[in-house]
Amino acid sequence: MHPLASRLVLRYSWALMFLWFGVEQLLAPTKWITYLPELTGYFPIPGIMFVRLNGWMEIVLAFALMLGIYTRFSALLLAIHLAGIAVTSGGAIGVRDATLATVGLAIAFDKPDPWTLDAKLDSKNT
Amino acid sequence: MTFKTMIALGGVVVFLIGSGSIVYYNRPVMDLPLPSDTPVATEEIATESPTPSPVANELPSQNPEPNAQVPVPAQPAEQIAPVQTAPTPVTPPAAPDPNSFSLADVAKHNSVSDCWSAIRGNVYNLTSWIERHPGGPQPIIGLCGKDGTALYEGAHGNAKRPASMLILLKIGSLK
Repeated sequence: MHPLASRLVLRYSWALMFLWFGVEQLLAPTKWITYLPELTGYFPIPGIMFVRLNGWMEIVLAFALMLGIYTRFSALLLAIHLAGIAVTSGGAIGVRDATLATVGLAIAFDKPDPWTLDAKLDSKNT
Repeated sequence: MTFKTMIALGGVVVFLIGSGSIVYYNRPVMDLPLPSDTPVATEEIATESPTPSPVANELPSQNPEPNAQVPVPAQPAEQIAPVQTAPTPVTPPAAPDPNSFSLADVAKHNSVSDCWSAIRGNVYNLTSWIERHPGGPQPIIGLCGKDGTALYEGAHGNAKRPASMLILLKIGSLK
């Protein structure tokens, strides 16, 4: 097995997780409204719109991560996003999400793996 | 501009278009009830055709002398112009306050798609709030079509934040 395959698996599995959640939020927002933190009730936008926007952002960033375009930046944004969810959720769900957020930080802190578009374009330029 | 930047810009454009579409198609639309029993004053404008002058109907051929003058009525313009009477003022009957509702009125709006509730003497349209309620839709659905004062106070008491949101949904007062 390729010595860097674990990084590919990590990046894809993490991106697919956001892709699944993003599509779910886009298609069935009412299921996710109950998970919105209380403070979002005071935002001047409806809950459904907030959930869909959140889902759309997750889908776009997940695609960026899967393609490997601006990999570190995309992973960092998603990690911060998930950390925010962990803080507002709290409890066991918060601990799980915080742990998953550190996976994103691990991707963000390392240089892009060889299967990312970033790495391919950089190697072509050098 | 590098290929990488172009892809990133494309991603940003796709993100913005998608976000704009989501905002547009999920935008809240105000659905304030229109008072259907408010009388509308209409002006009564006479549309009757003027009484035709017997002289005007006479054809010149009926005159035996071709060069003879046709007698002209004294005031033809006034007779031909339509008579416009002054609009009769419509006195509205003692109309009920359109923003005052009875519990029976509230009870008619008892579904998820049309949810009113009476809380502390005021009437609120909670339809748009059902899916925005931070505590989930069920507590709001339970208020539809009834006096929800006890349930509301049991959940929120005198908390200021829920009250500040509630006042935005007010549509009237309870009779």
